[in-house]
Amino acid sequence: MSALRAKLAATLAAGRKGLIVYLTAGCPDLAATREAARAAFAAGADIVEIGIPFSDPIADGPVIQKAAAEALKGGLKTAAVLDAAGEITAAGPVALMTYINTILQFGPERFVAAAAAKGAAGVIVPDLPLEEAAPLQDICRRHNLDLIKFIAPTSPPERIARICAQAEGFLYCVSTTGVTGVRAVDYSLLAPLIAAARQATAVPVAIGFGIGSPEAAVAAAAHADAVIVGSAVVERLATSGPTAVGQLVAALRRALDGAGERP
Amino acid sequence: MLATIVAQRRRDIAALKKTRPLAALRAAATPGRPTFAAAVRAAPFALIAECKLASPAKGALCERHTVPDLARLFTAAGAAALSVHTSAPFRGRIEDIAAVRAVSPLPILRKDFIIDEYQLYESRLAGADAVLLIAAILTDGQLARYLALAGSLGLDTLVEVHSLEELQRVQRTAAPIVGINNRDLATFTTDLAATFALLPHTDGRRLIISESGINSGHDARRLKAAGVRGALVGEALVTAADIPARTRELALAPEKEEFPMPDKNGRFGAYGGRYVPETLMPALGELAATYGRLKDDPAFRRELAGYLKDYAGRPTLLYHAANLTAHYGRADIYLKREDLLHTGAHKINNAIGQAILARRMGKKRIVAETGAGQHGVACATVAAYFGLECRVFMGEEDIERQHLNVVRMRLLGSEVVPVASGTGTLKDATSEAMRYWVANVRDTNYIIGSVVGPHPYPMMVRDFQAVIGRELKAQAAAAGLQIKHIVACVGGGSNAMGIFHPFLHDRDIVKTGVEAAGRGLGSGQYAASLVKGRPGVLHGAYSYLLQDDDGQVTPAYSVSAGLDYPGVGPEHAHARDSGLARYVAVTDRAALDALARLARLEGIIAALESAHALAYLEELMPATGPGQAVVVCLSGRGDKDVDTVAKIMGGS
Repeated sequence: MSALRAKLAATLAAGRKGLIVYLTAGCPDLAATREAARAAFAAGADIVEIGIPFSDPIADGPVIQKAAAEALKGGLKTAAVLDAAGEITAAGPVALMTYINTILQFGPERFVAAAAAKGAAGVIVPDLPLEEAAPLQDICRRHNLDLIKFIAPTSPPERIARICAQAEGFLYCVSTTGVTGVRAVDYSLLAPLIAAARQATAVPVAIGFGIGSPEAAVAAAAHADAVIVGSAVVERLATSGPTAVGQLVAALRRALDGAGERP
Repeated sequence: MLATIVAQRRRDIAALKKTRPLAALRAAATPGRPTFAAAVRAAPFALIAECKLASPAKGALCERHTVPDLARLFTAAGAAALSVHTSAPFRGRIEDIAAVRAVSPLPILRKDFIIDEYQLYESRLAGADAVLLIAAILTDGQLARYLALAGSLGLDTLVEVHSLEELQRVQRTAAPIVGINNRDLATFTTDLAATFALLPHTDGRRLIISESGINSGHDARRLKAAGVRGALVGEALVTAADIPARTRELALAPEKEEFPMPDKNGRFGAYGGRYVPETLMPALGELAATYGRLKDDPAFRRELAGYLKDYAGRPTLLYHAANLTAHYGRADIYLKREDLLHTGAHKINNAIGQAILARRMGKKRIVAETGAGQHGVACATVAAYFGLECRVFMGEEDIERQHLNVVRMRLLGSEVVPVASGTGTLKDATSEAMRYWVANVRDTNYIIGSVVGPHPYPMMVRDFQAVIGRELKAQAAAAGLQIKHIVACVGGGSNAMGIFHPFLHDRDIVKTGVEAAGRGLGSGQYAASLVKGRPGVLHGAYSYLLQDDDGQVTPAYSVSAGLDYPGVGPEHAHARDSGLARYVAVTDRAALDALARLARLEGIIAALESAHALAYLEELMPATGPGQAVVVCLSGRGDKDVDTVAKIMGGS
């Protein structure tokens, strides 16, 4: 079983929900990213996603766009992010998230090989739909890295089945039509989507996009195996530093665990 | 055998004359407006496809299809004209002409053994556009009389010869099209050598067609290379296992038709595809499916053609720029005047097409990106006209330099949303429009303004813009122009792909796309993705891209807001790599000079984008010669740019 799936399975087996945290690498700098990632693991994150900034992130809202732009303004390079990620994989499973052009220009084989060598467990590419995924999928399989698949509220059932057939690590369920960023979401609307996914795969389902508070995490987790928190963490790191990230993740963890304990 | 058939025909005609006398036919026949000769002249290699079911020598040739079935197959597969055999030994009837006319718009040649003027009137009344006259069965006197009569009836003629003696007889007449028959009338075998043997004896004043025995694309290419303008083929087509494929092969349209671009995954060779978030994939699928259903739907095509004509103002002029031509003193320069369209640029062609699609899909809202504002204005215009809600994303920098278009969009009732991120230009406006579409995909259609973005956009926008090239093709044929060069500016590349596309596989015409070199290709400040970039993914497609080593998209720069884009359409990327078109770049300064030159010489103020295409004439024209035609796509008018130009040029 892959490291990502094994970690979530262990958490679920303990009667808890999974918590995945996203950080944009290099904002404000790579030292802060490393420190925040370690703080997140220490505070109870199951998985940390390290975002490699891309100049034109079409799936991202204002917070992550701004973080990526600032990281790039500082001259951040893909190779440096891979190195930094390698320094936190000892603390817990890490997935690398970036746009396809970053991988294509680094060289897909070279990128995946480097990620695997640094101890990363998976790759997440938000602008790589199933139809375009085959070349990268082959490379990831050879290096034992999970290529995370997405489903969205617009995905029809037959498509969900096809995507789920390829799912590995965890299935990334986008909460709403829209880009990343904190907003109010009625997670109960996802119930049929997730039910369809569960028919087709046993891989844990994680809901992402929009979750910014312990309350929202609990609401989302009621319908899934795990939640992904991104913009809120990135914002917290930018305004208050790595220690504050640890505090936010701890609050998310407490809320999820509390909701898991039936009175 | 020929004598037997002719004798039988003579008896048939005598019988016909009894039931319907010549005088009655003569009274009923009004002159037609034949299109056969023009169609042969216009095609790079005219395949005249014969709807033939049988021959006296071989019996049944085709049992699977009827004559109209064959006509339909030939028409769809790229034949230039159709031939219909109307004599009994070929299992044909005169009524077949009307049956073919009902299913195909192509000109129809009546093929028969014409030995009596009665048959010419009959042909005209049956609806034929042209008749075959066989020199071997006609005297010189008959030939001259029938050619004259056909002319007065408005029938084109194809005069068939088998031998040098017949060719020489025919070359003493006014026959405009001569067919060399490769079939030996004694043995009924065919040999292409017959055409090559007679070719040196042709007088160069007529279109030469080769008849029968053309069995492959190789044969057709050999004939074309030797100067033969087309082929009349029956047996080789109707006996083929795959009739459409054989038709495409002999029509010399194989590259375009056998390898349709893009493929089902939206790939033009290595380029294109769909690199978008999962949320958008179902919407792109729906769009591709709807467009796939509608694009050949006659009602949709009529609706689109109606708006293009009555609302947008098509066809646009193919204008002979006599003063500019005199200025260079070389080839003749023609301007395809897209600037004369409603809203002032080619963008309206695509906006109308996509707005009709949006309506058919039940979407009430449209969203668009714009750089120079021309696409934004076109979308705001169609939104106003069709009663759609429209939101246009525009970079802050572009809002500044194209203020006039911002006012126009707002006046038309659209919301203009400023985009501050990145460089505040077209790239960032496109990203923001895509993000908005991700969030509102259920009730909103995204109208992309160029041949960029995820599949099906590059294909769809190209198809809507290809009206420019199709019109040019017809206009050039009507005027008898031999186009040598087509020049168009390239930002995303929609006007360029639109005018190139119908000519993309015509190797005799050089297609040149002109990118923006900005402050110079050595300055780092340019927008020349094809000249200076390398392949990568931006806005959903794999294509050439300005980027750094890590794949971060680098800002483009051009004085022209419409060219100021670091990417380019994937079909251009494929055309560049495969040599179907070539790409160059000219500087801001050269474009500004060209804009001023056209204004002073022709009294036409071009858009800064189009001025890049005009600027390339400085390099191109000295290499051209008199008698050639150079066509420049004047994609837009320059009203929107006068502030920018005034600022740069000052008082000069």
